[in-house]
Amino acid sequence: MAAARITRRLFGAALAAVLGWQVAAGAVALVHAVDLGRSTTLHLRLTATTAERVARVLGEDAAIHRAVRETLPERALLLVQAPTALASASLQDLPQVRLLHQLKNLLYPILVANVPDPQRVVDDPRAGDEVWLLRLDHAAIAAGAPAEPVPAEPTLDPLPPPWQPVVRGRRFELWRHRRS
Amino acid sequence: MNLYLATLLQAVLVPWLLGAAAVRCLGLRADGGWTTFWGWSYLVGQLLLAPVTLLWLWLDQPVPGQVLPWLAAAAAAALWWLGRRRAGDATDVGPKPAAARWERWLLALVLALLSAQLIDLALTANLEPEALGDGANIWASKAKALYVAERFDLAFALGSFVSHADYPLFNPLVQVWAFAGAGQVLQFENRLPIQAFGLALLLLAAGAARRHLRPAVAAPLLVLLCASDLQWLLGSVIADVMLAAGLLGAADAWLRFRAAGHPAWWRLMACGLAVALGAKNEGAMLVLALLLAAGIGVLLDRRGAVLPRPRRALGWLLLPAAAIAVHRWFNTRFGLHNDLFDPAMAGGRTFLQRLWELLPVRSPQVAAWYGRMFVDADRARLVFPALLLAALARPGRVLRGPAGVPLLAVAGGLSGYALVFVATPFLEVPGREHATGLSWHLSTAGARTAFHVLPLAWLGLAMALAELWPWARAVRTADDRGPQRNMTAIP
Repeated sequence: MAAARITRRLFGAALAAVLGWQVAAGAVALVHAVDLGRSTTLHLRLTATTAERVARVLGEDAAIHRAVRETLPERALLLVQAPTALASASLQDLPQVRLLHQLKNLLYPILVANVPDPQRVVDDPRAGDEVWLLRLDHAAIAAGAPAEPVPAEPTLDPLPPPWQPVVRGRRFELWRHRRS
Repeated sequence: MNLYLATLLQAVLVPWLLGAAAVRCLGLRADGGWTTFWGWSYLVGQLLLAPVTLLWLWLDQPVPGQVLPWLAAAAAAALWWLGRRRAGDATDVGPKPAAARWERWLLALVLALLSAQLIDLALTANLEPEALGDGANIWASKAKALYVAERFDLAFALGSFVSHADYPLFNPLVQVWAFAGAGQVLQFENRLPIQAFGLALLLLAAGAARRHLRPAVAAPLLVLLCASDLQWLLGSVIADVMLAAGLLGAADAWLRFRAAGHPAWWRLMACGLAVALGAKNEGAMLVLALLLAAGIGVLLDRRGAVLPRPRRALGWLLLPAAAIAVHRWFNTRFGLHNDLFDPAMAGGRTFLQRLWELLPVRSPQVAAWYGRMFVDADRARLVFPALLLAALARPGRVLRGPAGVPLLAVAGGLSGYALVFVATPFLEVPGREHATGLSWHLSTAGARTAFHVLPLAWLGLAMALAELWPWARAVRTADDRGPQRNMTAIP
C-alpha cells in the first residue's frame, strides 16, 4: 500500500514536471509564432487580389504566369523545357524546379508538362492540333534578370517553323505549334 | 466583394451556421456548452455539404456554383426553425460544471487568445499559394480536377495531375464548395475552410477538457494543444487536422454517451467517425483503433450507462459506412489503388509480406524515431509521455475508467503507424536517402501522423489528471454526474 502510494507520488511528480515544462515551452513557441502582420501589410493578408498575391510570391516570374494565363486557352497543353527532372535536380536547379511546381499548380486547368524534347510530343498525334511551349532562359533566371523590359533581340535560339513565338520576356519565351 | 472575405462567408460561415442548425436538430444545445456546440457545428456542417457538392459535380454542375451557398443558407434557416420546433424533444446534454468566475474568465481569455493566434497563423500562411508539397499535389490538385472536369470525366486529370488520387474525397469536396461559391479555382482562399477545422478542433478540445478539469487547469492544457504540430499543419490545405478533429470529436462523443446516455452523443459520434473516415485513408485504421479501445473500455468499465439498441440507433452508423462506401465507389470507378496495399505498386509484395521481411531490419530505426519524437517539446509532443506517466501513476484506475479509451486508442493508432512505416513501399536509393526510403517517409509523414492521435492523447491526459489530482477535477453538477440509467432508449 505504501509502495503504491510512493509510486503514485513519484509518477505524479514526474508528470507535473513534464507538464510544467511542456506548457512553458508551448507558450513561448506560440508567442514567437505570432506574426500580427509584421511580415507584410494588412492589405496583402486580407484584401489583396489573387493577382497581387501571385505577384508577391512569384516576383519577377509573375510575368510568366500572367503571359500564359492571358494567352493560352483553358485546358491547353503547355510544355516546359526544364533543365532537369525533380528527382535528379541539383541545388542550383531548385529555384527553377520550385518555379515549375508553382506554375503547374497555379495554371491548372492549363496542363503543364515538363519534357526534355518538345518535338517528340508534337509529333505524337495524341497531343492535339495546338501545343504551347514555355522556354525558360535559365541563365537569365539564375542571374536574377528582371522579367521586363523585353529585350530587342531573342535571347534563346529560335525554333524552326511551324513553331511561332507568341510572347517574349526577359526570362522566358512562349511558343505555339500548330499542326498544319 | 473581395474574394478572400467572400470565401470566408460562403465556405466557412455558411457551413458553420448550417451545422449549428443541424446539430440543434440532433439534440445538442449551445447553452449546454457553447464550445462543444460550435466545434461540432463546423464538422457537421461540412459533413452535410460534402455529399451535396459531390452530387452537384456528378450531375455536371446543373446550377451555377454561386447559388449553392444561398441554398445552404436557406437550408440552415429551415433547419434552425425545425430545431426550435423540436425544442421539447431535445435535452440539455452539455456539461455544466461549476467554477469560480475568475476561472471561467481565464479560460475564455485563453481560448480567445489561442483562436486569435490560429487566425493570425492562417492569414500569414495564406500569403503563399497552395502550390508546393502534399497540400498542392494531393489535396488542392484533386479539388481542382473535380471542379474543372466536365461530365465527371476525371480519368486523365487523376492520372496526370493528382498525386495519391486514391485518398478520400471529403477534403477536396470542402475545397470544391469554395471554388463553386467563387465561380473559379482558388489558389489561396481554398485553405480557409480547411483551416477552420483547426478552430473547430480547439473548440471541441475546450469543451472536452472543461468536462473533466476545472477551467484554471484546462486553460494551460489548451495552450499545449495549440503549440503542437497544429501550428504548421494549419498552414496547408492537407487533411490531417480534419482527421484529428473527427477522431477527437468521436471519442469525446462516445465518452459522453457512455456517461450520460443521451442519443445526441451517439449521433454526433457517428458524425465524427464519418469525418475521420472521409478525411484520409489512415482514418480507417484510427477509427478501428478507437472502436477497439471503446470495446475494451465497455468490457473493463461496467459503470458505463448504456449500449446502443438496434434499429434507429445503429442506423446512425450508416453515416461512417457511407463515407467508406463513397470512397470505395470513387476509387473503383477510376481504378485507383493505394500504394501501401496494392502489391502491383509495391514491388509485387503484399503489405504483410513486406512487414514480415522488413520488421527485423527497420523496426530499430522506426522505434528510435518515435523515441526522439516523444521527447520533442518544441511541438508539444511531451503530451504522449505525460499521458504515459499519468497512466502509470494510477494504472488500474486509468485503464479501467473512461480515460482508458483514449489511452488505448492512442496506443493502437501509434502502433499501427509504426507498422505502416516499417512496411513502407518507399525504397532507399543509395546516396539519396534524404529524398527516398524510410528516413524520408518518417521525416515527411511521421509528425503528421502522430498529430492525428495527439488530441486523443491530450483528452486522455485531461481525464487522467482529473483522476490523479482531485483539486484539478471539474466540479460536476447533477446532470453530468455519471451514468443515467433512465436514458437508455435511443431513438
